[in-house]
Amino acid sequence: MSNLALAATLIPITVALDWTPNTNHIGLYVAQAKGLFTKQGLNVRMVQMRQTSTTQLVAVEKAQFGISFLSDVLHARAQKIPVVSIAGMLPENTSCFAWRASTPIENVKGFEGKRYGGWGSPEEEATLRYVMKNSNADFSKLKMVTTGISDFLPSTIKNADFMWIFMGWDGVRAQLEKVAIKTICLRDIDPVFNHPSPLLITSEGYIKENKLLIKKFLAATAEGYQFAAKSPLEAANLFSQLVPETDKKLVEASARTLAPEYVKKVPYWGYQELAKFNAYAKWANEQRILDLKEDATQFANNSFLPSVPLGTRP
Amino acid sequence: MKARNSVLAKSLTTGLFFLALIALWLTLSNSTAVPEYVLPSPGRVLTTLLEDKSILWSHAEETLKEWAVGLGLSVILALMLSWLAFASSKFSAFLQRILVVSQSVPYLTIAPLLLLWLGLGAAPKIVLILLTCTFPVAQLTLSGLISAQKEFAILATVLRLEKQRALRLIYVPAALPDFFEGVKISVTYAFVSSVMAELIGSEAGLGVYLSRAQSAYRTDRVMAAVLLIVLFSLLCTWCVELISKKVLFWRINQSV
Repeated sequence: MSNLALAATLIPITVALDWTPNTNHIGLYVAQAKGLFTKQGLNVRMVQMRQTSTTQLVAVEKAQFGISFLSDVLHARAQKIPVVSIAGMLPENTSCFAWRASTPIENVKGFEGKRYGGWGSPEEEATLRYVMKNSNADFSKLKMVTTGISDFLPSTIKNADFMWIFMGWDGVRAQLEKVAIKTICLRDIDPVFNHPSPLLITSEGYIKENKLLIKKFLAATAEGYQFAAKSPLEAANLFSQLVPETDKKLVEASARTLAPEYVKKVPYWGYQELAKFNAYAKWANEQRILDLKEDATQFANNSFLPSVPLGTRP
Repeated sequence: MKARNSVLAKSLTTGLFFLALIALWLTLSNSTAVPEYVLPSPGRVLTTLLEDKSILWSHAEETLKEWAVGLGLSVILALMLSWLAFASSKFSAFLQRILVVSQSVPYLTIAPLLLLWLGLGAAPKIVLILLTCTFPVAQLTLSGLISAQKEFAILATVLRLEKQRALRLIYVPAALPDFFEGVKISVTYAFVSSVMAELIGSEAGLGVYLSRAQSAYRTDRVMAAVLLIVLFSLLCTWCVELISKKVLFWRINQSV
């Protein structure tokens, strides 16, 4: 009963994830498991999404916060959907093109004549076209196959030669299955792709009314990520307690791989380098996959983040 | 005796079919060419089912709640619609068109919109069930009523029954078998609809378990959940059959 009474005084918050829970979200789950949200007076629930646009859900305030991506935020803003990024969950882009080591690809040039398995977004085509052109490879010789929401290991048995994956999840999974893979990571190809990803977003309307609440939410979340950066195994354990349906070994290995990434080269967790927003928007405009006239830096806001550098917290 | 033999033959065929399926599954999963994340062995799936039973149950509870509410509302709505359509031929024509439209919508694309309109709770799931499950019950009940009227209208005239009494005493009982057929289809539809809606966005439910397992490459868990869904659907259909046999006691010797 006391739990119920407590819950009644807490402010309900819904976070719409971008996908099923994974180690990109670990700080949120650590904060949940350690009661950091409750301490801030918040009753947070995380809702997983597949296919639905989290960005739209946040814009109509069916969820106060959401996990999204830079390209998605920019597309939304181009359509006048009022979302704002308030934290970069990982400061760098940890996604890579990956293939089984048995597939004869050595570099981007080797994509020629191969099948790329993706989810069919314009970003994928534009990125591959750009990347291949810069490596003097012929994009028209690449076959784009839509594998939809299927995963790397099953898809690369028959349906595709290479895919675009998260190193910290699918890459780790391949290691655990002892499948040798090779990768070319986006952040190593061109700095324009190395932006914070994923992003934590909220809506303009919510910001207007709830500045303090957002700060409280981010304070707890940041503490969760700082914990995950320092103690990945304990963080993985807390995550698996709340999400027992995934795979414990995968979560542990993934948390260990990502621990140095959560606060890589940024003054504090969540910090977004605004210039990167503009650089990517300019690139996407040039590739004609985006029609955004406004300055993209106004869609990112660092002011709600607790600016406590790593290690100074007791 | 003959009837009993044919029932026996039927269950024997079904049994053999499933045995063959399991044998095929065993052979494939034992082959080294098929990794476990593509096809886990039946034994592995059963172990997972038992290991995860408390987690699975907590998710199943959520799905069952949506299922029960959605199905209950569907049946009530379907009965109201078929009654109205039976009473008015204008409404009947209108309803036919609406029902066709409701069945030609691709729900996989509508479900994300429902989430956007109705939020992330149980409401979008229940609405999805209503959209998919009202149709079979309403359609079958209505056609049952109409054919009963064709068959027994003379009887009603002879007995000088006014329309409402004829409906209650003759047409409704005569249409009950069709109504139960509709419900039998809907109980499984409703379950699949709620799982599907959960796949798209949810906090708990079998759909959540399924998608989490899938993105962690835990195919054993995916198969365990599918097995549970299949078992539940079979159980539900069997229950509806049992109830319909009890209610339709006068049809005991006829095959339903």
